[in-house]
Amino acid sequence: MQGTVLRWALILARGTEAVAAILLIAVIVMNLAQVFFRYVLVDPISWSEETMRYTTTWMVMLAAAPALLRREHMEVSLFDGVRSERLRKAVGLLVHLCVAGFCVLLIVKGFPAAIDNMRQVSPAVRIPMTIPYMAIPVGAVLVLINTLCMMLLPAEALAQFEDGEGAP
Amino acid sequence: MIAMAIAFAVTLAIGVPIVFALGIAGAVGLWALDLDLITVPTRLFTGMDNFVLLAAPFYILAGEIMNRGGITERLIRLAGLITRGVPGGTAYANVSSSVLFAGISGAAVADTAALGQVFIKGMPKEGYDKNYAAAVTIASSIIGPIIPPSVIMIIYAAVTRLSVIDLFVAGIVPGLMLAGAMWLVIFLQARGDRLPRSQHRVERHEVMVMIRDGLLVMGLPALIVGGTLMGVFTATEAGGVAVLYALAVSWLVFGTMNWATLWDSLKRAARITATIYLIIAAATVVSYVLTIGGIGMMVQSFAAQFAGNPTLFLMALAAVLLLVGTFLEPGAAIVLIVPMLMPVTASMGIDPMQLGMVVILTLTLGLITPPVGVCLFVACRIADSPVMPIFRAVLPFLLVELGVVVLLVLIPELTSTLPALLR
Repeated sequence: MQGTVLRWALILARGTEAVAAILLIAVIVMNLAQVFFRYVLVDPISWSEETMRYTTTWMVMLAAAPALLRREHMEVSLFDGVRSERLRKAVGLLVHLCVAGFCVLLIVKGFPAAIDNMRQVSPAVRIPMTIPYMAIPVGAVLVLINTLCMMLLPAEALAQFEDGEGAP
Repeated sequence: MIAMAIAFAVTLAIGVPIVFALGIAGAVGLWALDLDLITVPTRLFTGMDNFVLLAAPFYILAGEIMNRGGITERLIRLAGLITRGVPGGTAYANVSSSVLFAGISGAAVADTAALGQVFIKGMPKEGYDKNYAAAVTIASSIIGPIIPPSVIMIIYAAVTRLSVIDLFVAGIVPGLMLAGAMWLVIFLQARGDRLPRSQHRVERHEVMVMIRDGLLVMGLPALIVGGTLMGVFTATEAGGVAVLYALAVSWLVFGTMNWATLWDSLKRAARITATIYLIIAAATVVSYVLTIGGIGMMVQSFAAQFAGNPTLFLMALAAVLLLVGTFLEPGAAIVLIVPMLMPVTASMGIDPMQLGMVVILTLTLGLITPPVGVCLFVACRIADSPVMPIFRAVLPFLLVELGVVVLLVLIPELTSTLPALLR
């Protein structure tokens, strides 16, 4: 059971990370296309700036969860040196609960916020604003799933995820 | 607002990542003011939805590519070329490497992580104290966000609507001053052969290759600053060009890049961008509460006491920001504090570039001091050494870096002349 959960958690994290990387490529291509169209084709594109902004928002919200799993979000570690293992574990649990609680808030308030903007359309591309806004609650769901995994699964098992990539 | 401050302090202290600590604090603040919590997701969104900020992922990726492409080692060899014969040679080279590295990376942590792997591990083999090696590395790493390109300056530009490129250019002189100040400290410490000489040999035929590599690496900041100043592209577009340049140099010239490393660079750049963007976004929520809570008035009344004396005001500001920087991440601090400062300083006639550099440098110094010093922590991990001995070795460097801050406050021309000249 635990093994299955772990496997799916890692697949999910790797998947979202890969999608985030692909979105980053898309933003770079759009950015360069913007220069190319203006100078070489002398026909500037109007939709690229807006699309880049919203794509980046989605990239950020998707990459937030794998960054959490790799402990890349900046934090203060006052309790790392504490001897008592029980205290350390208790504080760790509290930290996960805080993160999870904030995600629940983003989910509960974020979905209505996104849906309320259904009628509003973006100025350049004319897509409903729901699409970019949806990045926030979706990202929060992913972070919540990862936090729950970190609470329930042994840390050593999740460390596998970090091994997936060579250090810079 | 007090509830918000307490929520932030408590969550931060128990080890909640800064992003979530800010977010929770913002939510508590809204709740205390009896406002709808739907503001949290919407502010989070608007905080990220910023065209200027869009430049950040490009520079992060360009730095990541250059770094994985073996550029770091090349820079270090080049930096050691001149100073290798004198006492403290590798310590000098550590600082010079940071100056060169600053031209490709926009963040101090990246500098500590990349150069630390080489210097913190390598310098003890030449006879340096391990803590001293870590201290030189982190003290010089703050040159990274001062010399262009710089992620913190992009954030600053996004908040203030100042031009990114003006800020980049304004950072050149302070960045070199920092390096000069650190070289001076090393010179004093090395007198009478108290620091070891470098041990590596350089063959004559290597020198030309090293200089070529160095010029190629230095081409990146030159391209960004030059291209943007000439109006060929915007600072955000320059980021895309920087990515292409980094790819071309590391793949075609150095032959150190392949598809697998590129993919890893992309994934990592996406994650790093996420951590930075989210801190900015979460800080935007807190900033909203502060605005509604009327903090602007408090800042104005504080500033009113310095009405006739902008220099004194900047000095007081630097002191406050040093304190703020010790526990708050610079990007978040900029989002929270700078919008309140802009109207006040404008009415005092303080040059925006001078203000920008003083704010950025003082906040960045917080990265190398406890209790929240990201660079310090990274160095501790690499050196496998506790915080205090490293921080003690940092102190002389920190002192001269504070001296640079004082000079920037006293002499506005250091920061205002170059951008005005090139505009």
